[in-house]
Amino acid sequence: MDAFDDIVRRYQDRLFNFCLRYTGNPADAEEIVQETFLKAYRALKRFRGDSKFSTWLFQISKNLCINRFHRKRRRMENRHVSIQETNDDQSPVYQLESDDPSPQDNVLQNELNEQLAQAISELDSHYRAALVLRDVEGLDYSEISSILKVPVGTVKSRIHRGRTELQKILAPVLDGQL
Amino acid sequence: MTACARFRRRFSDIFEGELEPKGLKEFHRHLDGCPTCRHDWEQFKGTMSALHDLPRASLSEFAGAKMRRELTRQLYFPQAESRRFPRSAGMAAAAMLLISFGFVIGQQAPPATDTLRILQALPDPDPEVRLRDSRTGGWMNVEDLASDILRKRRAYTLVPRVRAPLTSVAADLRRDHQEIVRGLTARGVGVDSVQFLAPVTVNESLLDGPEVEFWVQEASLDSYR
Repeated sequence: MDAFDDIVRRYQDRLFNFCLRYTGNPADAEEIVQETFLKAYRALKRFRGDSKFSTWLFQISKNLCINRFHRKRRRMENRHVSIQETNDDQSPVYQLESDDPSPQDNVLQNELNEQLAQAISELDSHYRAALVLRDVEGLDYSEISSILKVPVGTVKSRIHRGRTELQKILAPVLDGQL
Repeated sequence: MTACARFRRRFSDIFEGELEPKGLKEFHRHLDGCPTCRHDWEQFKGTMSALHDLPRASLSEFAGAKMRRELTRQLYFPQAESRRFPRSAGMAAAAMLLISFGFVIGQQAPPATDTLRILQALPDPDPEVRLRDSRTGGWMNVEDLASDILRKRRAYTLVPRVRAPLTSVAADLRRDHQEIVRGLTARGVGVDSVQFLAPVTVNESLLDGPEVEFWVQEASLDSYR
């Protein structure tokens, strides 16, 4: 099998998860992942190997997410954004892993997940990138620091601010559960 | 800064286990006497738990395959990207309109001598390009393909079949692709009549000739949508 195809298969889901949580839009996330691989392939010679390959891919994805975010904000001001969650054949673009809890738990959990995903997408873009990389992707501070190109201290502070913002947004839901 | 504000600023550190034992003891003592901080700490932990429980999203099998196909197409056939039937249909309609218009006003379109000269100056397509007729399994060359297209007025898809890693035959694929396009153009066949699909890697035993061959299929309209 082609080596590049191997790379795509290995990283496509991690990148997609990151982009989906960052953009909040499956169609955008899918396009960004594809663009990430195209850019990576074309710039492969420039990859110096001084960071992990995955870190480099996340860097590209993050930049593309930011570009798209700014472009979209400029273009879509005062307009509705339609979210396409199906492929041309009406099958879903993405799937979510599930531990298969009871149906009732599932409904509550889904509701919380939806609100959480929405809340993440409303965070300041700096906080959002740091928080998603840490709390969704589980990367360590130094890796996030390489991806975002900011010091570890800034990473920690952005993550904390992001979490606090989320807490404020989710407070009514969480108070109902406490 | 009040003790409440000081501890709230460190919720993340506490959650990550980065607070020194002495500070942690102090924090728990503070929580015992401060219901507001206790409530906020529980809320913070709830947020973290929700974040960690957020299901991982992955591309569906269909979307993943579609993306990989698209990637291959863009990486190996960047020029083939814009070749779509609707544009072809549009151009055909425009051409028909022009011809009809020519008949109506009783004039033939002037011979495109410049175009002809350029086409004649083009070298013959590389005989190395291997095309295989998917209906008969027999070999054909670009000339056969061109006359087939002109005779039947059908669109065709060309599927490259390779028996080596794509990266190692990428240059061959590009060269063949250019040769085919040039060969067709030289014979007056619009490049819109063919669509290059993503390469398929096949088992070595299935190819007896070169590392790259193009499988020629008549296109259904669906394959252009």
